[in-house]
Amino acid sequence: MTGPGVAAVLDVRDLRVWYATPRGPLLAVDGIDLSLGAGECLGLVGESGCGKSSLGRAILGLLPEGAGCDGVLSVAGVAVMSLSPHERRELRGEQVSLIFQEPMSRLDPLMRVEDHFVEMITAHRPEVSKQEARRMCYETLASLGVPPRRASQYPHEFSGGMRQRIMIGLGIVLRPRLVVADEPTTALDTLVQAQILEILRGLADDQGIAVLLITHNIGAVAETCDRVAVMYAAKIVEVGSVDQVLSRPGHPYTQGLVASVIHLQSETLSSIPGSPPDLADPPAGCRFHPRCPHVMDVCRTTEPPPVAVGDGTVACWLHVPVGSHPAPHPSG
Amino acid sequence: MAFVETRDLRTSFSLSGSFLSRLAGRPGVSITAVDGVSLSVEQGHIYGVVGESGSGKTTLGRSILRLVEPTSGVVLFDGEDILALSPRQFRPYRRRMQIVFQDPQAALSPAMTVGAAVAHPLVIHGLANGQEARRRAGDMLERVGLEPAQRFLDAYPTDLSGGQKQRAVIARALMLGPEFVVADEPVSMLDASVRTKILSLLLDLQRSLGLTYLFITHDLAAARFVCDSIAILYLGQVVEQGPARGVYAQPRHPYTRALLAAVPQPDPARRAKKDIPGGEIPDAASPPANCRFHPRCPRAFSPCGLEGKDLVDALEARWTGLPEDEFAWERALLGGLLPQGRRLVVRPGRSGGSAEVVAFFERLRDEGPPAFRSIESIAAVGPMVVLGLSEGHDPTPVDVGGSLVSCHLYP
Repeated sequence: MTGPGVAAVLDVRDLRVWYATPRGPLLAVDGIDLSLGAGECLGLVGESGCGKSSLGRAILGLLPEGAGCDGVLSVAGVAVMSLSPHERRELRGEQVSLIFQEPMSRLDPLMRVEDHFVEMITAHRPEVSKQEARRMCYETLASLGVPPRRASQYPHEFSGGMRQRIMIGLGIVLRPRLVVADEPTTALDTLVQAQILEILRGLADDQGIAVLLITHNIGAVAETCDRVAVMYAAKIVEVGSVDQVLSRPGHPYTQGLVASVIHLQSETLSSIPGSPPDLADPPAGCRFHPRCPHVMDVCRTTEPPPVAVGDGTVACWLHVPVGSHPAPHPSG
Repeated sequence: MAFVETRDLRTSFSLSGSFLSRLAGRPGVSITAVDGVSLSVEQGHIYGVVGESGSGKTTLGRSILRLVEPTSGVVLFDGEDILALSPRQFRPYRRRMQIVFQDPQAALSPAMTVGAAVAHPLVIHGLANGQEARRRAGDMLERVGLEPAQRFLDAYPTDLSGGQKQRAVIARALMLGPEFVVADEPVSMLDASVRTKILSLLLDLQRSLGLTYLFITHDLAAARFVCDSIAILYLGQVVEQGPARGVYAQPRHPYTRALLAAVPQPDPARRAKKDIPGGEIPDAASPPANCRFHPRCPRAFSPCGLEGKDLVDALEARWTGLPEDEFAWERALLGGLLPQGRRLVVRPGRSGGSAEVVAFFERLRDEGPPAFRSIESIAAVGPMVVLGLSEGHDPTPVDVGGSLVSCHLYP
């Protein structure tokens, strides 16, 4: 959590992201609050289609054509919503960068690795000489375990894990305050995945960068993050410290999600019945109620408010004292 | 007796170079994706093949089914040497063995209804058609949990979720009543909550139909849950195999240990600093000599087959952990490092001559990490220092507490 007086690196209030579809607007992110401080690593987890990547792209100002968003979004104290496209481009790279799942598609196959760095650095900092930019490149690569002597090679000469390190290097060479990593290890093998997660953890610990790790891999979050936010059907249903949320999950969806992870101590296979709703036509009340083993009448009609639980919040009627539940709707 | 067995199975592909290199008469490059694999699968058991991408696990599964033709070796299916059979003789065996692919999206034709796709094997093999084929497809859909079948028979794959598509693919694989199923990463494309449902289904089908599975995966946690036996594959070779219980309780090969250490733990209380080996799986077209894991192995030593370039890597690994001044001194001492096969030629740098370089490597050999113990000779040749490395040899499988381990740490 961000302490009092410390400005959050990322501050999101009531953010909504929508896409136009033939059936009307689809809300992929529906009123989300999130904050992230320097040196903190926050995991954003949820099943495919829950809206977590849309949230990441909105933070970067990289939503596709035909998408819209509103709400409050500030990165390093800058209100992103009011920036021009040009100012947003400047913000990306200098204050915030994105690390993608597939690094090869983001590197120019005809450019040496060091030229990627020189171009990136001089575009944002015209006063930096080429020589100085190259020195920054070598230093960054070395810190990520890429031998600087390989900086003159082309992207195809590197393995998947090395390319992902290069992408991370390009993302951090200008010392941004925030790194958004969207499924950064999904395409990588087990051992390389562990290497990259260690690097992301190091960005937060050693350089004070705020890291937002978007993933469906609960294990990766447990190993890497300080806090975790759980997204279901375009909303955050639970947020809190990794220790609390993954060891003592408060929301029935989080409980189901954590129980469904197969790990090296698993004795049973557990799953959540049903499947996530269509975001173009989400259920009324709590969006998880059709799949929830603890569903009550109030869940079917009224959306639960976020309630403080331990060091975080849970949006579930089970955590609201019965006396505070809304009166049932009059019938008829 | 084993139900399915491979003996020294090898499958190579030739990458036949460019047009110009063929014109010049140069031989094409060949990749041995499966390199001498021997394993035996008991009837009614689940045998796990675990490896990272590039380990050859998918090619192994396909070679056993003869979906790709192995280059050499033996595949015994129910006692019959199926690689020796003509295509005509092999046909009855095809029906007894099936495969479930990783990507259900790619495995189903978008232009075919689910009912038609599931009934297709019956029609192809002339076992049923029309209403009879549709009825049997409907029964199988219900068997794999796509109920009521009426809702799915006329649906197209785009109408189905990822988990439902994989159920349809499983239904199609079971239509001909196979006894042996190769499941190639059947759940890796699915979300965690769907993954457990499909695994439960596969386990349920295996028990109720008495199936035998070859379960191919990169997910050690899932393999532990479903498999009776397990083989760990690295660059086309089995490094460790045995009863799953034993391999997980006491992994022996450094690669198996590294893989297990890298599995993310969802319980934050188990979070621990890991010692993950660096590097990645090398190019299968030019695999490392002798033990193929040696360039990444933290315990690699003399017999493992180290080469000059491995010593360069070991030096770089050492430098990342040194204080700045010691690193600067060593970097200045070693002006150039030129690996030549099992030799490393060192050009002394600014801060010392060949005598200092010789003394430096003598100290590393005696006190450094295991990789430097492979230095057999250190000689000043003119202005250069030449390091000769001891010759390695291939590790052979050794029985260690019930597991077969191919590693020089277990002589």
